[in-house]
Amino acid sequence: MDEAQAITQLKAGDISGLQMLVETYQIEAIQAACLITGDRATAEDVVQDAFLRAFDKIQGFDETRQFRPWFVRMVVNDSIKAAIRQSRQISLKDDGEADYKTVLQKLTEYIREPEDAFEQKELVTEMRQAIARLSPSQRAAVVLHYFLNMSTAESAGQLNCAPGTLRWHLSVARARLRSLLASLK
Amino acid sequence: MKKENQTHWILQEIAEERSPGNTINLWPQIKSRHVLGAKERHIVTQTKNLKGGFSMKKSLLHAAIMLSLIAIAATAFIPTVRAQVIDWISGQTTVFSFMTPHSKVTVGLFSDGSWGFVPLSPTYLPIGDWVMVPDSYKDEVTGPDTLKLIFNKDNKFLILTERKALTGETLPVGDSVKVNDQPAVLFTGLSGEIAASIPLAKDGGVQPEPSGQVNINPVRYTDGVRLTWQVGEIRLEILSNLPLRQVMKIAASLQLVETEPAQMTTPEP
Repeated sequence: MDEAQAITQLKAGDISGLQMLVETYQIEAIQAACLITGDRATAEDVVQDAFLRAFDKIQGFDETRQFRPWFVRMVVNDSIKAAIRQSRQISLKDDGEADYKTVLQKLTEYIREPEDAFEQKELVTEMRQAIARLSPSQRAAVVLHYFLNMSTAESAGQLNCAPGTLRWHLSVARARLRSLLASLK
Repeated sequence: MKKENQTHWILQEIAEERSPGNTINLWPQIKSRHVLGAKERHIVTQTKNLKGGFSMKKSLLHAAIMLSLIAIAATAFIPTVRAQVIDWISGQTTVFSFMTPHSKVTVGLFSDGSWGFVPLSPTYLPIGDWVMVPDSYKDEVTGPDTLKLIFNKDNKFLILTERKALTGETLPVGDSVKVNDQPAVLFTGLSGEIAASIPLAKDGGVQPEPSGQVNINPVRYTDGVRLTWQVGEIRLEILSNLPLRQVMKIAASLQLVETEPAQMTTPEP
């Protein structure tokens, strides 16, 4: 069964069509939700709800378009809401520009492959800590662009952050990345 | 690895740490939720106890709640008298205790032994400022004295009821699951209203009304979970609007209160 057939089944009210979509997108969706919420159980709840809501709302889905962006939008938005609900002790203001800039800078600094397992572990640990300091919507921006490989326009469209913030930081990050790549040649 | 994929690789590593891809299999749960949601979605209203704060059936409960409030206030927030209060209530009550991020909370409930069993209490709750109110009443339908522990945090609740199992009593017909290898029956997708929202004072304690009563507000829920099972001779039921995974984890954490009290709040794995 391919995706189009699965969606046709869903539109006919047959829940079995959802199985193919779950098996195709569940890992990516849970990992993205987990990066945003920081909690596996919450991520699973978000993604389960999103799949069931996708089934409920499938009649409104335009099958000439791709399922993934439509579904990812639900997951990311719900993850942001869940992260806000569960982490009220963390600053939720989207003015954490310093942290945000730091993360983006680190993302572009690590352009060479880690040389050993220790360096890999250190790198991942540092990034995990940096990402945890971001607000939920900022984490979502990083996840959309760098983890889900969405375009800047797609990511910015789902962000709800200050206008131009994402684009400016990503532009700076890319410029730095180009510069560093050139210096290695 | 291509250099341009480095950032993706870092995030992938972090994601795999927290949610390894080979451990993810949502379909059975989604299918179960869909089927049960269609068949079992109904209104469950449980307001006969605690509604309006103090419409309890047994006069004993009034004393129990008051004692609970005293115990919470004294043991959680007045350390100098904590030991004395625990000593005082230990001799005549069943003592439940749990940890919040700020302090250990101890709650006592008068017991005349009519339950006929040693109660179980969770050793795990999700992190947060939970409040627990114990209740004891005679079940009008089944007869035996029943213990009810009501846990509340903001708009989240979990109600654990315990009573002696009736002779030959079986589990209801529903979705079969296991709790610590014991057969259990699960209903999900329940909706209704429960009078369980207990307002907190700024310092984390229960905020009583000037009269000394606790104002208990209703909580509406739309994705409730009910889990029924037996441990030995104890019939257990949990009703909660927490995520299913957390409900199952709480159920699996039950321990006899006299053998292992406290430590109710533990970090998520």
